[in-house]
Amino acid sequence: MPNQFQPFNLNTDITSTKTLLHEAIPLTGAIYAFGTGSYIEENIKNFAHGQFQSVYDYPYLSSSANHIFDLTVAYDETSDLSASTSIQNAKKINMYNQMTQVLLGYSKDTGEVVQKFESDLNINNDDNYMTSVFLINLSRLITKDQIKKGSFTMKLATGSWVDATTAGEIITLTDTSASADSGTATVMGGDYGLLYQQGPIKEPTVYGLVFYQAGVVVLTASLFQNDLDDTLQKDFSDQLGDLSQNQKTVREALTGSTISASCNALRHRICDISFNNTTEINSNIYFCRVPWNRFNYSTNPTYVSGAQIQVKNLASDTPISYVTTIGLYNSAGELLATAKLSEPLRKDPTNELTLRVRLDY
Amino acid sequence: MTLKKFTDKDIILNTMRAYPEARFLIFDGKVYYNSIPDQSGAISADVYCVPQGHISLYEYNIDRVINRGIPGEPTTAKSIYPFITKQSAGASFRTAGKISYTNEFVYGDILTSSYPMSASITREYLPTAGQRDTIINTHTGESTAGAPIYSHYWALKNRLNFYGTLSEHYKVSSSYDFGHLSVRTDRDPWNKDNQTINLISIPSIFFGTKINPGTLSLKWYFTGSLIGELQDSKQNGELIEVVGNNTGSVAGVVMYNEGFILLTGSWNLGDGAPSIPIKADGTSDRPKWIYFAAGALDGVTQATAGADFVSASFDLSFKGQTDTQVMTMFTHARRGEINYSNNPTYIKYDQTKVIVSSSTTYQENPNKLIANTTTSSYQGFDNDFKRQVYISRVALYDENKNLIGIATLSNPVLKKEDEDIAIKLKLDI
Repeated sequence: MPNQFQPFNLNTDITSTKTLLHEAIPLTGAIYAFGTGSYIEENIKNFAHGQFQSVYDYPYLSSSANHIFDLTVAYDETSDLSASTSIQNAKKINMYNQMTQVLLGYSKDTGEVVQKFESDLNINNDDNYMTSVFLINLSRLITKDQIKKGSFTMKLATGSWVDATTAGEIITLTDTSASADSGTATVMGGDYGLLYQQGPIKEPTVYGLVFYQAGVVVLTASLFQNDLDDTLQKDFSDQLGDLSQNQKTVREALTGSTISASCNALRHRICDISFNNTTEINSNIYFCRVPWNRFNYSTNPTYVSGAQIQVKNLASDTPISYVTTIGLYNSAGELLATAKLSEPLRKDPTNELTLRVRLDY
Repeated sequence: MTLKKFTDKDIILNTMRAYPEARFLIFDGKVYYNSIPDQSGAISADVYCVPQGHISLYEYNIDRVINRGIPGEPTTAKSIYPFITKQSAGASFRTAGKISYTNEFVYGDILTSSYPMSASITREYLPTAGQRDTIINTHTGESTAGAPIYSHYWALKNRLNFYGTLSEHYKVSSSYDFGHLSVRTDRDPWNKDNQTINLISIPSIFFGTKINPGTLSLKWYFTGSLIGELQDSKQNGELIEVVGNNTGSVAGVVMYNEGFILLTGSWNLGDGAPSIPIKADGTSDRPKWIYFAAGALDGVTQATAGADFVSASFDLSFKGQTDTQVMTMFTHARRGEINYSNNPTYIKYDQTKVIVSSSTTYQENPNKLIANTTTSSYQGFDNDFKRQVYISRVALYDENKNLIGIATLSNPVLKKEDEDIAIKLKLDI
């Protein structure tokens, strides 16, 4: 119990601040079996509903496994891929609508129509649609509060299937134009940036979006559609055991393969994903001011011996105390928290102290 | 959307207490936690990327080459690591000391750390626990006591005396006469400063809030045979020998809240058990409690002690205690309430939505019909319309109507007009 309190001046003694803690997250191809050509993978979980597949960093049956991301395929009902003959047609459309509804919301003009993904930062101008997409939903475990803007990089093999397994035609997608204060747009699902292709293989253009707070990456399917000269339809997947036709273009895969099979093909093409996540740490800083004429005595039982202050030899000596702990009390005098000093601080009437107490939450 | 207020009876706060079990086997300089064997990964030697016998704090980097956050080193490293920018708030990692943080980094510099963070039990053998350095005044030749050699013991001395009300055995020094109680009277009184202490530190990640009193067991095995066991059977922190030559004697104390075990029992264990190399300097002695857990990250291995060190093995087990605050909330959908949905499909399909829309007037169709979702047992026959909804989720709002949580039901629940439904939500804090 303190023998005296020093009240805070709420205007000058208390302030708040925010610190951003980041983690560098590299998701290497070894996790999701890039280039192996194998479909027997313990890290990958497929579901009976067949709407997406989950990727773990370790065999998912192990309690040590961390969920890394979910993969799925979606297209809009206005896409020319949409047809009643397409495999899981309704699920792919519903997936597109759900993701756009959550991330983008409804059209400003009509109010009843869900927005579509666009490869620009103006979602209301109804152009540059991306109606057939791959969706990568990164786990909250690794994105934390949000992906750091400008830090996202993804390497993809875009060659034909044989080349893909040997890392052919690898392109790098980055949100290089995005930063904390520019290069992004804000929509219902938070801020999003554009994924530009870097490298000589394809024309520099936007091939996807990254939603920073939601942790969702959208890749346009056209990324895998054509060869270098944009004329030759490439093999996107080699779906062993998937229907009758094995070598499929991306168009054939999206219409004639299950979502899981298309996810397998995409997953084998992801060489590398890396980004920095962000955790916001909010802090209150209390400046505890110790004036010269206060806290020079202690109520510690060892402070006196035989009715004499231990640290004084003569009656004329100034009192000395050593500050070891700061107690923070509320207005009712109830102890809320204590702060310990790393080492005791000498306090006597000739000095004043300002102790800075930081409370993170 | 309907907002309903919680009443006092709708919210219950209670504490869920669990007792996680922990067991350590110490053998041949290695620690095995809960019988988990070494698991080698395809990429790293240990799949959890932590030293043997340790647990990984977040289990973040599984089977990877660890990147310590130093650019370009190692080149093959692909692991998750944290970093922070030095700002005025002064947030940092423990790896950057106070002086280093102040002098070596300027504002805007990036400080890095690494994952995984790991923890395991640690043993310290303190031959004379209270020993201090000697400082010799070069001018006068006088010698005075300097800094403590075993700072961990000194840090615990106040706390040991504090627990002296639980048991006299906690006290650093005592003149209490145990002669009428104890089998061994030659140890009374004592001063722990002058005793040999075997200090075992257990990180709180293994037990939670505290070690549950009455659950601690320490077993000394010699060539596979049990020669001594201690238990805290009185639940007052005393570690009493229940198997061995001196059953009933107190061989040490346990600090339940802090996770420290201090063993001072220095009598021989086991009938005829010979001396074995049991110290890091290779010297031999007969089995004693002060050598319990030798090899638990204390530098005692076959290489430092000797080949016969493998004759000794140890088992340390206890139950921890974790307290989790649980908020239970009852949300009520009473009859006549919660009977409408904002879902667009709740309205019958293909109806006129807007009857007038002009530059001055916008009027929705007031006669839109609700879709009939009642099921019929007969094909081609629609049951009479009943007002009903399917509840799929419950949203929690604060007093300012900010959405602060969503509870999603595993299956939508049918809510009929004349039914009361209560949905119980639990939130672990």
